[in-house]
Amino acid sequence: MLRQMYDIDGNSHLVPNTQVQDKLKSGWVFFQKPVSSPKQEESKNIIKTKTKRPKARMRITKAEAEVIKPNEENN
Amino acid sequence: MANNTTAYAGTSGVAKFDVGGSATVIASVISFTLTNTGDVIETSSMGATARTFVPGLTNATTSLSLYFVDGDSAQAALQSAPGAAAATIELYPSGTSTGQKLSGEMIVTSFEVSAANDGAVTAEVAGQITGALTVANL
Repeated sequence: MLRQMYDIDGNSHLVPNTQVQDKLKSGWVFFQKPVSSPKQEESKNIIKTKTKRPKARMRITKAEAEVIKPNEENN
Repeated sequence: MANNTTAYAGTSGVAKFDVGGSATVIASVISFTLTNTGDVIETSSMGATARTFVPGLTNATTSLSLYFVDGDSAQAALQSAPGAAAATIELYPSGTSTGQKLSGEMIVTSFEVSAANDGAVTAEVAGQITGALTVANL
């Protein structure tokens, strides 16, 4: 009898019964390992920096400021 | 650990077979049997009125009934074993922590798969123990 086995690299072979245990000891397996896509490793060198947004500033002229100020006082 | 002091059911039984050098649990075992017999050699001579015997060689055989699981490595090793060299069989009638471990080197003499449309697919394994059978307490 011949048994389908897979070597360490996943290649399929038909192995005579008398050699099955020796192949198992060499790391061969009966069943093909499921193919899984390699996980993309996140680069550890990425430097994450927080960017501060500049505070919103209202640009007004001095004259405009003087107009606003009395209004605030009235309120 | 401990031996059983009362009769027990076989529900905790475990069987292991050599897979590349490591004893591996066989999946879906329904039952196993280990028979150890001893030959007798007759020594009766003329004039004797009753036969006399002396003990001869011992002989151990095993058989296992399984639900066939073709994705189980231990069953695959058993299926591939007829015609191959002896490999270790371990039988634990009451599990791997209590009772006895029966072990020996087994030449698998047959592996028979049976399928029927009104039942589960099963496999019957028969083996011949070569050399001494070992009975150890767990």
